[in-house]
Amino acid sequence: MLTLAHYLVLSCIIFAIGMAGVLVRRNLIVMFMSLELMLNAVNINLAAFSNYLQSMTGQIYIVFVMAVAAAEAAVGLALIITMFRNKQTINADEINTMRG
Amino acid sequence: MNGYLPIVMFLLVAGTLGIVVMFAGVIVRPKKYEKVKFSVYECGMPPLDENRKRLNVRFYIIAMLFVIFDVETVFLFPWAVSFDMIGLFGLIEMILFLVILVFGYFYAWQKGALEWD
Amino acid sequence: MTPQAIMNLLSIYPEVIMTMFGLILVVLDVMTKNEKKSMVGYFGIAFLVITVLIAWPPVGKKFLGFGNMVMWDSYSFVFFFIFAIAYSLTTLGSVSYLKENGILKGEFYTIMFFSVVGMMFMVSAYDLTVFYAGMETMAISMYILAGFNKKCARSSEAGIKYFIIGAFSSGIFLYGLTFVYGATGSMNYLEIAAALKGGAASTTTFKFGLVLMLAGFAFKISAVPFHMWAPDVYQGAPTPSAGFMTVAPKAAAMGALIRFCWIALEPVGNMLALFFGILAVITMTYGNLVALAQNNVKRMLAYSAIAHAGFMLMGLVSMNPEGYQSVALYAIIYAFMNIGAFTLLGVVKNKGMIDDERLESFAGLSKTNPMYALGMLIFMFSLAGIPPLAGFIGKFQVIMATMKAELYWLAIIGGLNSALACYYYMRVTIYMYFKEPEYEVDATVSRSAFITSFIGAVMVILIGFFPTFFVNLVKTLLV
Repeated sequence: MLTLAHYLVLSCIIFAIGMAGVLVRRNLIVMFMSLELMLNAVNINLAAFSNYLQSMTGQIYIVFVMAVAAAEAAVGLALIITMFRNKQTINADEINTMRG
Repeated sequence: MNGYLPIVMFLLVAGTLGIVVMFAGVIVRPKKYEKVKFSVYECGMPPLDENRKRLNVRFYIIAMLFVIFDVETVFLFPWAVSFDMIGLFGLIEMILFLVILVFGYFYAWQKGALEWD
Repeated sequence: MTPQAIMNLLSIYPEVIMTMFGLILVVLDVMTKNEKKSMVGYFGIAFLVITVLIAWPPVGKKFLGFGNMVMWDSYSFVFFFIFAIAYSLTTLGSVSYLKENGILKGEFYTIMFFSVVGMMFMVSAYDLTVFYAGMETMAISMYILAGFNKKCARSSEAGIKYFIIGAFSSGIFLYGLTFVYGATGSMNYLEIAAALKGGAASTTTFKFGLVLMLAGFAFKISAVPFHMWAPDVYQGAPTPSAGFMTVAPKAAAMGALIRFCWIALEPVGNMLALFFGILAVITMTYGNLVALAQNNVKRMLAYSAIAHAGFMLMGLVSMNPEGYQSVALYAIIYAFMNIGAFTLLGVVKNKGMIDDERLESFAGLSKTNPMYALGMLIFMFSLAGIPPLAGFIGKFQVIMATMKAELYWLAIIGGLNSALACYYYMRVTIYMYFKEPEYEVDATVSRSAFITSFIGAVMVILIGFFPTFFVNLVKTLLV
């Protein structure tokens, strides 16, 4: 029998993978994919809690998260493209023109 | 866990069958090596060039438009399912939502995002 | 129309009007010619003025609609007013800068306009769903504004950094939010508060979620130790967007945070006071200390924005009505002085080998361009909090609210910090007035930039000299 804890552990693992991806990987596209992974972990969590509490709010929230993720994808990829046109690279370590 | 037994059986059978067929192929087939055999398979056509080349940035704009207008259906589905409960108010709200999207479409159209050249 | 439906409409009518105007702006942007795109911005100002007049709330009335999800009251209105000021000043001041950099596009104004809609939803939210939708509308607009100068490597770098860190922080925020939802069973502020009173506050699920949520909030208001994106983003972004980004989103995040803490987290308020107190102290001190070492005025203003965020957090800590009144007043004053300062910063053109915004560019400006130097002097003194200018009134009100809550240690640290801040603001004026010019610098202020900085300076002086009127105005609106 699957309990709430199973879902939470799953989403925690996915969230941790996403977070580690953002912090460790240096390719902007991969970092971006990891961000989406984090949002998907959030969605799993919301669905699990929504089922556990028998309330629809969580599922409605998922729709919002998905819509926002799509908008973020459009803007984020556009920014990555402008970055690539300016510097011919999408390596996060080479984005360092500003230092205090 | 008893409910999962058929699935495990299925996976085992599928896996074994795949491996058996592969080895059967290795044993049975004639072994003639030609240059063409090692080239990339592209629907039977001779390959034109490398497949990891850079794509035109216009594909990105089309993809972006697709993502934006695709995700709107996420909102349409729950609305359609609960349509008998929300009635006229829901209909007006959805029309407003779509009108806002049409404004976005109009913008993209006028800015030339839909033209290829 | 049932009374419920009317209430629903009343609770969001300013946002609805703003959205309609925003869509009209999109159409206007498409229809205007390339060299006349500033018209879009001016129309935006006109629309905002109309909306402010329509949305003027009856004091004390509250419109709570959509099943307690959105609230329109004078609190929302005051913050809307701050965003309107920020939008109008930025628009006026941005025209010549954008033209010179070849990025005078209608989208700049349209996106800023829609970000204002998002901020309005953020502040008027009574439900985390509405809050999240508003926050992301604002944040995504801000990513675009930061990377708006797409030919400039620094600007797109700022956009990328803001985007990655902003999305990362909203991910953390959302992950925390799911646990708060799981522990309390609701996204609604009132129901969360009820559940917390009912004992959900002591569960580990709730505590874990709250910590993550507050960390996400801290990212948004650039509180130390979640600030590392702020200096780079503000430095790299086009100067007018940087001015807007230091003021409006910060005010929106503060407004939403105050509402969330006051209504949803009210049962655990005393637990939060210490957390926010420590956050405020670290943020102020770090921002000021690092700003001391900066030689680039834009970067210095970025660090000072962090310090100001810490100062605004102090108003939140005091957890009394004076606290949020002072935060609102502070945000209004900050809008005038900071956008004024950024507008003036945007007109400096150094013809030598160094960056336009380096401190050395300002050397001797009082001789070549006395009016410019005087304007910058007023903004710098006000940002430093020197009486009798407006910045002093803002800081004074915040510190008074802290004293009233009997948090004397916090008030003392706040006072010390504003003394510390004087030094780096003074450096700019010293360079302007007591140094010989080293480089050939062009600081011709265009007409629109002049109007912006003039309005800013006049308001800074007016609020400074007649504080009681403005303080009472904010107090009557925010009872």
